[in-house]
Order: sequence, then C-alpha cells, then structure tokens
Amino acid sequence: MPIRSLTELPREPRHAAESYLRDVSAALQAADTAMRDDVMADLESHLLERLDADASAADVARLIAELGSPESFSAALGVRIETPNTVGSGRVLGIPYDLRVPTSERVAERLWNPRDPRIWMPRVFGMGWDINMGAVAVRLNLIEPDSEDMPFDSTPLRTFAAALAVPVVMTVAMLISYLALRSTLPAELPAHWNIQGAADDFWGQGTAFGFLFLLALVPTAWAVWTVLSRRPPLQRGATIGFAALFASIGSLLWLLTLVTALTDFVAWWLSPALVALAIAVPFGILLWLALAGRKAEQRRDLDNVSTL
Amino acid sequence: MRASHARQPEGTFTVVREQESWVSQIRKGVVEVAVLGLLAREQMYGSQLVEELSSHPELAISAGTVYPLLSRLKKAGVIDSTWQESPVGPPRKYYRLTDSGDTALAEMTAAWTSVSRAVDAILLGGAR
Repeated sequence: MPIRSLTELPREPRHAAESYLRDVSAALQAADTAMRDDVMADLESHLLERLDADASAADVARLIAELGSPESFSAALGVRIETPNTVGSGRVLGIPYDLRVPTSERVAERLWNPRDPRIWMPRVFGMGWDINMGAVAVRLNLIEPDSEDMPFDSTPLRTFAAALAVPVVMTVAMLISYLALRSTLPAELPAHWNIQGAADDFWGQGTAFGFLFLLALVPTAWAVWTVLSRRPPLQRGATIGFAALFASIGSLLWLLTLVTALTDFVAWWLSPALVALAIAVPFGILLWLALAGRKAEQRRDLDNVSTL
Repeated sequence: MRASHARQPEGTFTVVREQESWVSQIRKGVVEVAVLGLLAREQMYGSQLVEELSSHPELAISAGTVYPLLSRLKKAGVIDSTWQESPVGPPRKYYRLTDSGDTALAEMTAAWTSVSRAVDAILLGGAR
C-alpha cells in the first residue's frame, strides 16, 4: 500500500530515504532549478509509490540501489560535477585561473599540444592563458598535428640533452656575469623601465639579481630533474620548454639590467625585442625537439631519409 | 511524473535543450566507428581522413576531434601508423587498421546494425 509522505515511514528507513534525496539534490546542484525540481519531484513520488508504511531500512536500501547513485542522476542530466582534482582551478569573469601546483603533465598539455587546434590554453599557473606553441607550429605549417605519435616520444636523448643545455647555460651565465661584475655594478639596479626604455625604478643589487636568478633557476632545476629522473618524453620536453621560457625571461631581463646600469644605452625597442625573444627561444626549442622526433620516426619507417 | 507534467513551458524548453545534447552525444559515439570504417577501406594520412570526414557535415567532425582520436586509437592498438614517401612533397604518416582494429570494427558494426534496427522498428512502427 503506497504511502503519501515519507513521514509515514519508521524512523530509520525515513532517514535513509531523506538522506538519499538530499544527496541526489546536492549532486544536481549545477543543473537548472526547474530541471532539478522535476527530477526531485519524480524521485520522491517514485519512493512513495514503492514503499509501504512498514518498509524496513533494507527495503529502502534495495530501492536506492535500484535507482542508482546520485552521480548517475547528474550524469544522466549531463551535469558536470566538480571533481576534487579541479579544486583550485576554474574561471572568474570568463578568465581561467589555476592555483594548483603545476605538474609536468599539465605543462605539457598546455604548452605543446599540436593535436589540439586551440592556441590559447588556460594558464598552467596563475590567471589568463598560455600559448599552445604546438598549435602555433601547426598553424605555421612547420609540423603536422600528428607529426609524432606522442610529442617527443622518438626524440633522441642527445637532442633532449642539447635542448636542456640552453636554459642551463643561460642560468649559469647569469650567475657568472653577476659574480664577475658584482664590484663594478652600482648598489641600486633598475627594476622597471618606462616606454622609452629608460630605467624609472630601482632596487638593491642583491635583490635584483636574486629575483631574476631564481626566476630562471627554479624551472631549469625542474627540467634537469625531469630529464635525470627519466620522466616520460612529453613531460621532459615540456619542462625544458617551460625552463627555456623562464630562463630567457630571467637572463634577458638581467642583460637589460646590466646594459642600462653600465651604459647610457636607451632604446624603446629593447622591451618588445626582449618579449619576442623570450617567446621565440622556448618555441624554437620545442620545435627542435618535435622535428628531431619526427625525423627519428621517419628514419624508423623509411629507407632513406635526407638528414637535416 | 505527475509533478513534471504540470509545468508545461519549462518542460518544453528542457526537451529542446536535451535534444541538442542528444544529437552531439550520438555524434560523439559514432566518431570512432566512422574513422575505423574509413580506414578499413584504405590506409589514409591525417589530413586526408579529416577531409573525408568533413564531406559528411552531419557528423560534424573537425581536425580538432580527429587528431586526438587517432592518438587514442593508436594507443588502444586498433590502428597503426607508418611514414611513407609521398609522390608529391614530404613523407606522410599513413594510418591503417590492425587485426584487433578489424575485430573491433566488426563488433561495432554488428552493434550499430542491431541498435539502429531496433530504433527504426520503434520509430517507424515496423515489425520486431
């Protein structure tokens, strides 16, 4: 004999039924209100119809098992549930943000993903977008989206080593130049340049160098680690690209600092040239790794391949 | 059930919206069989496959769908790829079905046939 309200049930089964309804309702939080109300009304009337006033907790449990998990309801409605690993990322006013600790997998998927035609990818860390340099290379007809089965999978180890040398050399050069010029450098170094390219803000020598050096050192050390610990090739390549980006930014800013501190040279084009170079260096390195990978694949499949 | 029928205007809106996503769900489900089906006829290179698929606009398959799918199918072992010399221009990467790809396509074809026959029977009111 169907009941008219869940309150007619004994305490225990009533609690089980109510908590199930609450869970489903929570799982449907992201659905629009009308749809959720419909589903909840249907679900409740289904429970009332199938339960007797003397139903046991086991009866309720059996009925719930038949109906499915709260997640199956949201899946059926096409509602996306925020899973725990997306906590810390999302969108604010349409702009993506990500405050999770960057992983080499995520860097790879954002920085070099030639199979994905999107050029602007949500930023690996912080707010805004990163450039998917793989998509740029495809757009420029430098590679095909499927040039490599998996990016950098066939790239020879020596090419990785050579590519890694670029950010390492940049970082080491920063340190050597600082140690060599330390005594000749003024105590205050430029921290900011105006649109004409002249320094208009200053900070202490040690702070200036330390900041730029760490900017290059941390990602470079990370890239060295991924290569030495034999991480998968895609992660190796992506962290090398990431390191090249930051080592370029750090060392080029350091170069600009030295030039403006030690000479009278001022030019408006210094900053734009610096930005262009800082992007071109990692792009060149990633492209180099990809072309070496493609070449290796072709060498495997074809009888005679012209060497680059 | 009763409760939902009371709200007609909102219900109509919901149905339209679900229909759109239903079509895209169907498309998502058939991309794989479309790609495998084409590769069963002859081996093809990436952009050839994209072109071939785009000649069926109702499938709405773009390069952005095809290339990641090829990567996934290759990892699953149902297709394989090799570089081959091209009569014009640089070498091309050709894809073809593997033996397990043949099996997978046969199974998918059988499933597709039986499902579509059942749905047709319902929609067109034909015999079971």
